[in-house]
Amino acid sequence: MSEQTAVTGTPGPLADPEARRALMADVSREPGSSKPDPILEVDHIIRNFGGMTAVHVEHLEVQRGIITALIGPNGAGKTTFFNLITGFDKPSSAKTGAHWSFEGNKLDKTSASSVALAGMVRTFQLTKSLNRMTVMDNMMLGARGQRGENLLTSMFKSTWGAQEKAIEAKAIELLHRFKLHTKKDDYAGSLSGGQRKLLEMARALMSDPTMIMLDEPMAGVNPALTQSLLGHIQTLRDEGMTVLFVEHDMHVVRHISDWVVVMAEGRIVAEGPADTVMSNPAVIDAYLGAHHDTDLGDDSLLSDEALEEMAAQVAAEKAEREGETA
Amino acid sequence: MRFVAWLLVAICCVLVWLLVRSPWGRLLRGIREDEDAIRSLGKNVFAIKMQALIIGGLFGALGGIVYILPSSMQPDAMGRSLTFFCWTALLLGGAATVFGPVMGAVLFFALRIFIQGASDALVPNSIMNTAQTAQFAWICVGVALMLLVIFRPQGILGDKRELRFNV
Repeated sequence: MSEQTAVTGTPGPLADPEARRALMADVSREPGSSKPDPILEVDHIIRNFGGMTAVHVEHLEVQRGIITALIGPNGAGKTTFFNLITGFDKPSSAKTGAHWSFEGNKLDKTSASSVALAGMVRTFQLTKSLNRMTVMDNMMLGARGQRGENLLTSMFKSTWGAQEKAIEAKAIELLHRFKLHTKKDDYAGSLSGGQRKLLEMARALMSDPTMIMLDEPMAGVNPALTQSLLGHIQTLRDEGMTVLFVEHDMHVVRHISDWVVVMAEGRIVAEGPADTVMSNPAVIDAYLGAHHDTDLGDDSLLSDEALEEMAAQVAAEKAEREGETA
Repeated sequence: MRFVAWLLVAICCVLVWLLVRSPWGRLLRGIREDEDAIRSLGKNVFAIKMQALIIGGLFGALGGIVYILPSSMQPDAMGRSLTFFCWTALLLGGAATVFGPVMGAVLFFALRIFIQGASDALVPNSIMNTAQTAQFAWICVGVALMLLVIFRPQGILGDKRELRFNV
């Protein structure tokens, strides 16, 4: 895929798949394992909605410069976790030891905008393109540190004109890369769903993030566009950016991710490279249920011994799980 | 006095135009579309909204000064109806434009007085007396507002493309 996409930046040291494999080879395949060079570290984040615990992450590290996929069945808390670490939501454990840091900077109490300024920019599951503004305006909004956005200096074009030109050139370059340049004067609301995804990603890139967080970038995108989106994501990685994304589609995950983190019922149940994590029993349990290979239509299972055996199994698993949480 | 007031209007228009064409104006429009998206790009949404609120209040205050200067003020003149006059003038000219509200206000008051005066002069008193022409003018304004909202929701100067997409 990456061969088809024009690489505009210089490839980073982790552009070589072998180098990435070697880097992650020594990392333990345990949930919450420590990485050689973590860019994001998360500790003890809990989010309750009423009596329901949506997210309960004890420890997670995200390695710099690779693509990390966050997967899990529906309702596993992936998006909530995203909202928590990007400052769009507050953890319930905020005062009892919730702690996360990005590139060594503590982010425990910062707002969504400061998180973005720190270099961690996100996109949304439901695309938030600014519909009644042109594609170009959408892009220009992404740039950071604009002098013209200060109320006092904004009235004098001389203070921001030059910067504006530079930003515009950069926006056009990015639009070219995402093949949206022909649409630059159209309203964002007139774009198709997939083009809006591209636009959102391009807009996030305007701020030169060190880490980009994509919330279901492939949702509602046709297969052809999926291919090009995947290419774009890989190109970003090859240029040295860290990518963390949430995705449902296993093929997508298997294809591009260097490391996979699996969440289920708010917890991280497994970590590892895509090919090994898929065969992890905890992951199969999370997706298919622990007793997925038992044929409930089989009449011989209705005998008392078989039922008792299953009940005993369930009780044992329950005890084990309670033992873990205690 | 009239000259000072119009000078003030001109200065305010230029000021607003300067703000709207700047990146600050773009940011404000972005916030209108989606606050969370702007937050995710690292902008301080609260500060910009506060600034916009203050600027709006400032223009309101200037308008109040000009309104009161040539005459006296009694509380009833600032009743509910004035709020609706402002909205009508705004809609007539076109929301989210610089010159629209000015033109809307001029048209709104000029048209009403013109209709009232014309019908007073042309229609004989047996059909419509002076008190009735005043009411007739208001009826015309109301109908015009309805037609405007139905057939030209963006106002006289507004950009129709902006209404095509639901947010």
